[in-house]
Amino acid sequence: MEIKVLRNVMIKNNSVGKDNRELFINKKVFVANLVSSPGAGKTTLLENSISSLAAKYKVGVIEGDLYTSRDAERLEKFNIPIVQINTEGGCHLDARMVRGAINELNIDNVDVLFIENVGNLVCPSSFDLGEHKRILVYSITEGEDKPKKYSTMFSTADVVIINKVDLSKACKINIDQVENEIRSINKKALILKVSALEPNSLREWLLWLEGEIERVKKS
Amino acid sequence: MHEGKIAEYSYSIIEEVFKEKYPLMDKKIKKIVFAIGRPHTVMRDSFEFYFCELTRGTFLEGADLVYEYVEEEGFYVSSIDVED
Ligand SMILES: Nc1nc2c(ncn2[C@@H]2O[C@H](COP(=O)(O)OP(=O)(O)OP(=O)(O)O)[C@@H](O)[C@H]2O)c(=O)[nH]1
Ligand SMILES: [Mg+2]
Repeated sequence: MEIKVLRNVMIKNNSVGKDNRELFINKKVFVANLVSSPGAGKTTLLENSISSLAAKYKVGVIEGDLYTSRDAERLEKFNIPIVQINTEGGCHLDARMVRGAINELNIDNVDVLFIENVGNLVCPSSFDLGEHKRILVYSITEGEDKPKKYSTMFSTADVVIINKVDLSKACKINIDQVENEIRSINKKALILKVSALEPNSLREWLLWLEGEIERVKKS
Repeated sequence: MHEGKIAEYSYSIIEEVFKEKYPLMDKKIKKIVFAIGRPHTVMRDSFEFYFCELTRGTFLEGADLVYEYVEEEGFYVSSIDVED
C-alpha cells in the first residue's frame, strides 16, 4: 500500500530556525550569519568589525568550526561572549546547534550576534539558522567563476562582501566583472567591496550593520 | 556532507508517518520515493550512503530508494510503499 507523505525534510531544521528567529526578534538582537568558503576572510572581517562596533554595541559571537577553537581564540581579545560549536566533521551549522549555543550565550545582553558558519560554499546554504541576514564573504582569490559555480550560496545571500580587493592585481581579477556576475545571480543583494584587513575599507559595511542593529532595536 | 543530516531528518519523518499508520510497526516498507527539489544541493550517492548506514537493522533496511526531481525548493519524502 502506498502512503503519500509529501513532507519537506528541511522542516526539521527550519521549524527550529523559525523559533530562533522569534527569540531574536523578541530579544531585539540583530543576527548575521556569515558564510563563505574556507579562508575567505570571515574571522578577519569580524575582528575588524567588532573592534569598531564594540564601543557602541554589545556584541556576541557563535563560532562554527569542524574542529579547533582557533577562530574563537582570535576574538577573545574583545572580551565579548563567544560560544564555540565544533561540528566534528559536519559541513554546516544547523538551527538546533545554534539554539544550544544561544542558551549558553545569554543573549539578553547582546545587541548584535554574529554567527560564523563552517567554511563551505555549498552546504550552509540549505540551513536556516533563524538569522536576520545572511552575509556571504567571497574572496576574489577564489576566481571570478565561483558565483556561477556555487550559485545557490550567492542567490540566497542578503549581502555579498567581495573581499581581498587589495589582491586584485596579483590575481588578475576584474572586480567589476565579478560584481556583474554576482548581480546576474542575485538582483537584490547588497554588494560591497572591501579588504577585511584594512579597517578604512569597512565603512560602508559598518554603516549598514549599524542601520540593521538600530532597526531591530526599535522594532 | 549535509546529506547525513538530511538522511536523519528523512528517517525521523518516515518513522513518524509509519508509526501513525501502524503503531505496532509490524510491516515492512518496500519502497521510499524521495523528491529532490531545487536547488539541487543533495548528492544522491552521498545521501544513500548515509541513509543505508542509518537504517541498517531497522524497519527501513532494504527498502528500494527511488528519486524524482521537482521544481519546488527542498528535499521531500514523497511517499512510502508498505507491504500488504
Ligand atoms: N590580502 C588579504 N588577506 C586577507 C584579507 N582578509 C583576510 N585575509 C587573510 O586570509 C586568511 C584567511 O582569513 P580568515 O579570516 O581566517 O578566513 P575565514 O573565512 O575565517 O576562514 P575559516 O574560518 O577557516 O573558513 C588570513 O591569512 C587573513 O589574514 C584581505 O582583505 N586581504
Ligand atoms: Mg574563520
